[in-house]
Amino acid sequence: MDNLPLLNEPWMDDVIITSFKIYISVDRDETRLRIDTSESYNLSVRKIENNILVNISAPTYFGARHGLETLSQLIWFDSGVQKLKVIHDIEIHDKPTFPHRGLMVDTARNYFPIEQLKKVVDGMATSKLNVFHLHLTDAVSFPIVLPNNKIFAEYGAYGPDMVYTPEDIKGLVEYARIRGVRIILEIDAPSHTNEGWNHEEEKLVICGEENVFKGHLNPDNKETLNVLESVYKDLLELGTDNENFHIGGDEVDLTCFRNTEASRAYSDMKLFWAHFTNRMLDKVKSANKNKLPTNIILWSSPLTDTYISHLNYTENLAVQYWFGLIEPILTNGNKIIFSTVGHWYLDCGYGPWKPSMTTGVCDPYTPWQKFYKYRPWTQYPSHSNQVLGGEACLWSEQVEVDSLEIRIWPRAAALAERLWSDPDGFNDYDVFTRLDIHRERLKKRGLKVAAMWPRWCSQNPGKC
Amino acid sequence: MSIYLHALTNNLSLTLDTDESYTLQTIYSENEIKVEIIGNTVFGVRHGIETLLQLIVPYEEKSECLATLSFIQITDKPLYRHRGLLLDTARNYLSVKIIKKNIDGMAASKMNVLHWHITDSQSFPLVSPSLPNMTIYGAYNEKQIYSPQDVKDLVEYAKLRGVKILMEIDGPSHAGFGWQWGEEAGLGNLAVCINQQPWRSFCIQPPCGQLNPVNPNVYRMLNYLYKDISNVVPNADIFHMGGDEATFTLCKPIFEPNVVQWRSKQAPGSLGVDGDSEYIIQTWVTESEQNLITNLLKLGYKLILSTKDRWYLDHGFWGSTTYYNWRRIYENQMSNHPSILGGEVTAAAAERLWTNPNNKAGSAEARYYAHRTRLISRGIKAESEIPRWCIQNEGECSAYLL
Repeated sequence: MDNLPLLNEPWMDDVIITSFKIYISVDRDETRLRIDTSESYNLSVRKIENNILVNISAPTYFGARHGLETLSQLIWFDSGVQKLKVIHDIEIHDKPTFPHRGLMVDTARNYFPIEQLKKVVDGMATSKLNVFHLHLTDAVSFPIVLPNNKIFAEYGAYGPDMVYTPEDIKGLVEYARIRGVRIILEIDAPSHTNEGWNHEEEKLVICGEENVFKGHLNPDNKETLNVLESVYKDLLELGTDNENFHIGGDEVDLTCFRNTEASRAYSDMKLFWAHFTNRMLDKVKSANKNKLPTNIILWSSPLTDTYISHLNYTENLAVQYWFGLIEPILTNGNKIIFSTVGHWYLDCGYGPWKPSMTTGVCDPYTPWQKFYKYRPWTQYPSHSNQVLGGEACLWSEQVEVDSLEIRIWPRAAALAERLWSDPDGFNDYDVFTRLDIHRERLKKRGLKVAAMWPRWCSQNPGKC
Repeated sequence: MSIYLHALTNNLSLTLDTDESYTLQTIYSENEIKVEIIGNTVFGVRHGIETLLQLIVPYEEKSECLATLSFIQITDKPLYRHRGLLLDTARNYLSVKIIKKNIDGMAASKMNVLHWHITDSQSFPLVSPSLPNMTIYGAYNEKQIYSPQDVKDLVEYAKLRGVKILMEIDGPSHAGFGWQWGEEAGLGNLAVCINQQPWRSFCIQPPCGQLNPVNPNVYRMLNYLYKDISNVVPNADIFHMGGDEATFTLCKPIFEPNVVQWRSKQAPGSLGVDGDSEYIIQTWVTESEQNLITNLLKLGYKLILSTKDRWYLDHGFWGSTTYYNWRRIYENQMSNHPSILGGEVTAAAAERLWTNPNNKAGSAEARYYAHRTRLISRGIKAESEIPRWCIQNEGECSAYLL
């Protein structure tokens, strides 16, 4: 993406091209993006007399697709001479630094139509991001129609028109696959549950009768974990990434569990948390035909800070780190995905959304420069093989259809370059200019993008 | 439902003195609702129609039936005469279509002044038939301009919706691109310090630029510009001449206020004009700097408030500024001094400027969210400020902590 070898600016010549041929070769018949799928590619553009010859070679389809994205970045319309131009006589050897380059969108606090989520995928493909993580459900709504548990959406969706049908989700998974993006479907548990789970008389959730935000799965109901397993089976059937399975696990409130029969034997409630989480992990395994996913992912919390060693399957357990301590995760041997608040959260900065709050949850607003400059892995060189990558997160309390895209772009593209090439330096001028051009690219593909600065600064490089 | 509209006068000019009051009453009898809206002007009647729209809601979600109240009696008028929104089209260009959508939102919220900050040091998108060089040198490109016809259309579009357009050509500071052609035309330097680098030493944001105060041609050119503007915005009772953030270090400007003048922190006396009734000062000083407001009122100026730490909609995304959500905007309690003509900002401020209520945001919450839904139904992209659950479960999110 950067450091193109520029050979005496040969594209400045004024040769009119009569043919433009692209040859693509792919070594392996690999059509599903996995965490260990090679995404590398080689790209060359040569001019032979009046012909342009492009060669893209890659081990997999996914690398070749990245090569095409790069090629599209080498072609631009010069409005001065009203002609398309292409950079030629170059060779690019390129591959990503991290295998997990993600974006999370919360579809529970507010709902986004499936067509808009596909547009998000378009932007991700343009920016070579490869993991789209949907935080599908939360205490306040349950928009996904699960094939064998339809009642959840009947009770928990904001309305009959604010749901994702199985066809919607399968369609999104396929749409994303073609664009080099895998989908993680997260149903958060045991906390952040209420709407949808509170159907009938089954009492699957507790603590949320008075305050919707405080709901938790009910460990006293023998059916709870069986229902959860059935929910996991549904997610796997819908096409969630079965090698990287997200169980949520965010912000568990032990005071809720303290009043349960199930926890009576535990004097240390944190051990009860570990016990319950381990049972959830077992349910993931049994739902996945008794095969443990390569990575089961859960959110960081004060509990992972202190008791992560009590969780099973260390080698297969990855923590999505947003807040708290990093060291215990790494020294315990777990893998890590960075989503650090203050650096990679897209929703901060809009103030309190309830009268009872005096400040926003994570103010202030995080500008793109902070996304770009953050390189937490450099602090832990001996653990580099545990770092899967990172994700930008968009929680949607204060976002709906009309503002989704401008919250994400172009900031997520700054993260994309960080995770793809992880450049050492931060040269203001270079990065500003490159991101500004990429922003225009996103705009041309129909995405709504936030302004970075006055247009004057785009037209006068280096002067702002 | 039959609706009767009566405007008591045929006055069609929309000025600071326009009477925007109205009465609305509905009477239900024998399966018919009779609505009568009476205003002293057509602008008051229009507000009455907006209110009527707010009183008609879907009978229930997804229902084809509508519901309204069977007996209504409303007497209403705005507390402040100037209820504005500022749009800056110089830092980044906004299409005429987008500006019209904003006018739609203002009309739905009974705001009445669109303050158009049309130029700044970065660009000059306003076509001046007398001085075509302004856009040739100053527009971002040949498409990102406002032709005289565009401006005329907007003025007309706005007026039909009870909104007056207040034009601002910022000067003496915040002027640069668009003014570079003076020397070539034999008029001398019209602006100084244009794009002077390093910009941090000369101005607050790049590119630098200020009108050249010692070149008499500048005033001649301004005269042409103002004339061109008065051709497309006829009978304007108010014009904004900028005056924001003049820097004295190198590019010494002088003040030559026309009518509305941005108020910076220079002492009140420095304006060079006494408290003349012709001048209105738009102040952006913070809530805590009430002294300055008191002093200006004592000197006899009329004021428009744009409290910086409550009503600046761009804050929160640059530097160390913080974002003000609607609650903070709403709770900007204002003085009822008769010389305070109003303020400029959003929908939350619209209610503040119409009624200046004593209540805090909490008690306005439900109607604020309802108004947001109304704006969206009119095709305006309104920000979401709360999970939908809180709208569907009115009041529930007020009572609990996270």
